[in-house]
Amino acid sequence: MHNKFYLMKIILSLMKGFAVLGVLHFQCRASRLPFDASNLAMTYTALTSLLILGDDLSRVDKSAIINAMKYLQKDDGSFTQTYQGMESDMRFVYCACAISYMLNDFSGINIDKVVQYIKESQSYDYGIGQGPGLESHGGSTFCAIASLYLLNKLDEGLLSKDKTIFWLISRQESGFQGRANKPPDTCYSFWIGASLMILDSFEFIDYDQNYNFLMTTRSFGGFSKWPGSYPDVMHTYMGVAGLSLMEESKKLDPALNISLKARKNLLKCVFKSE
Amino acid sequence: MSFENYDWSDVVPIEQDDGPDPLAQIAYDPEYSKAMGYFRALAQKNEHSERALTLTEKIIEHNPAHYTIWHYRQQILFSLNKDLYEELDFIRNQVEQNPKNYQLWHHRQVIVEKLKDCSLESSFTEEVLNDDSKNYHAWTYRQWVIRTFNLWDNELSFVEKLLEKDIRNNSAWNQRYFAIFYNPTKPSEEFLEQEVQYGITKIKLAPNNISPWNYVKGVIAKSKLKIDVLEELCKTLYQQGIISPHALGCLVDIYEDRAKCGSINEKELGIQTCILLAEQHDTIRQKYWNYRKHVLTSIA
Repeated sequence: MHNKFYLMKIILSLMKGFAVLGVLHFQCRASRLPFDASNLAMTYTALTSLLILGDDLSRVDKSAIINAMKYLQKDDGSFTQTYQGMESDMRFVYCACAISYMLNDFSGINIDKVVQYIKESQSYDYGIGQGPGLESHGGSTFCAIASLYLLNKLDEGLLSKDKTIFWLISRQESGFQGRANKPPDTCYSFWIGASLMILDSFEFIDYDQNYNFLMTTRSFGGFSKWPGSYPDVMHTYMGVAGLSLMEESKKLDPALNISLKARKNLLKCVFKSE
Repeated sequence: MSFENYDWSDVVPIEQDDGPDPLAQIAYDPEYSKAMGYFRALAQKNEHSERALTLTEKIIEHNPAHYTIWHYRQQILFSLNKDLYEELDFIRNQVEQNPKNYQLWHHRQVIVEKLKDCSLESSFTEEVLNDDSKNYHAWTYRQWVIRTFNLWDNELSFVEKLLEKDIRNNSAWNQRYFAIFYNPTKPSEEFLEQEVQYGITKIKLAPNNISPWNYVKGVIAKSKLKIDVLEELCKTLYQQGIISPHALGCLVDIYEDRAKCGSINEKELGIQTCILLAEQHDTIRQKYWNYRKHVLTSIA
């Protein structure tokens, strides 16, 4: 009979990682296969999944994860997702910060360099791009703001909190767009909404217009990115999360993107507080 | 030669190990599973060969996001000393179907870095942007090419072409800023003032278009000018009956600055403009403009 404990076991067995001669390997059940290396985005997802399932993370090899992370940060402060050196951008900066926060150990990242990278990725319009020079975008803005919040560096990292809030608010057109002059898309109700919540400015949005837009992207029981499209798992989650941010009794932690229930579990197990 | 036509008799495929009782096993296409079985076997012996290269092409066909396979493909291409210009063609053929695939764009970057030849890259990105003028991957890659190979000179005219097609293309406006301010040759004050005038001209074409407003404010911030230079534009638009929340918002900023310096008249004007925005011209941001009104009201 499959149950949540079995799921935890699977996630944990996939997570055993250790750094060997600077290269990361996963010890899978069978022999160690070349090219098999840890992935920052998967590590973030695995840890949050374990917390959601009520696991206490005691069986996670925390030091292996933190040590492996050091190999993934580049000189400019950004992170790649895996040691095989692919693209590096704000998404993996966020993963690294979130993982470090959840394991309560920031020794795997150079915080000053992260803050510098985020500062340099701020656009002339005070939104934040995936990297320096790139167009400001709702996804990367969330990643940057959430990272700064988790590092407790919001004041240092944002050039102008007021102007960034205005950039975020300006993205509402009914629902939220990810970039200026693009159509609204379900997932930005979360990326932009959560960013505003972290900056204590979620109350500025127009709840009715956001809600009405999300209702138009419902599709076959899930949510799609636009009205009239097919649904997918990511947009369905984001639609639900976007709606959740508007609830009077808050249930979602905007920075880690997990429920408050899962967050409480984290506080109990890792931070040893209530 | 296609992957099936090679001799695989010496290869014992290694099956994917999903454990004894997989919870949510993926229903792989049998051809994909077979190819991946061969890949795991070849990877064990680190084989770099023609058949391995063809194998990567087959796997990519099924799963274009499989970054491990792209990495392996790079290793094979380099050890076999394959024609990398042919590889650039291969990528170009894939990009139409997969224009937003991270691995594909990164692969092109790796190949171009190895070749140290950027001559095809400007037209490659231009082609992709013709299909989707806001493709974030294309812009990111284009910026990498420009920075790496110092191709700054023609970028403003490229941006101009795109803005002529669509004055609301925020990616093109961002690229304009990039081409000027990330250029190792710093712009003169005179040039910046010309850019402000350029921006104002474009604002007048479509005053509700937020992109040139943000651009102009960005240029002003880097120049010796102050945001007051936009005051006349904002007021003229309003007097002509052209309502732009961006113009009114800009006036709020100007009035707030002056109110902080002691001007009571402008404090009142600022409050009135916030009310206009909250109640009539930007009602979706009503709560925000009411907050700005409150901030103005509180200025001593």
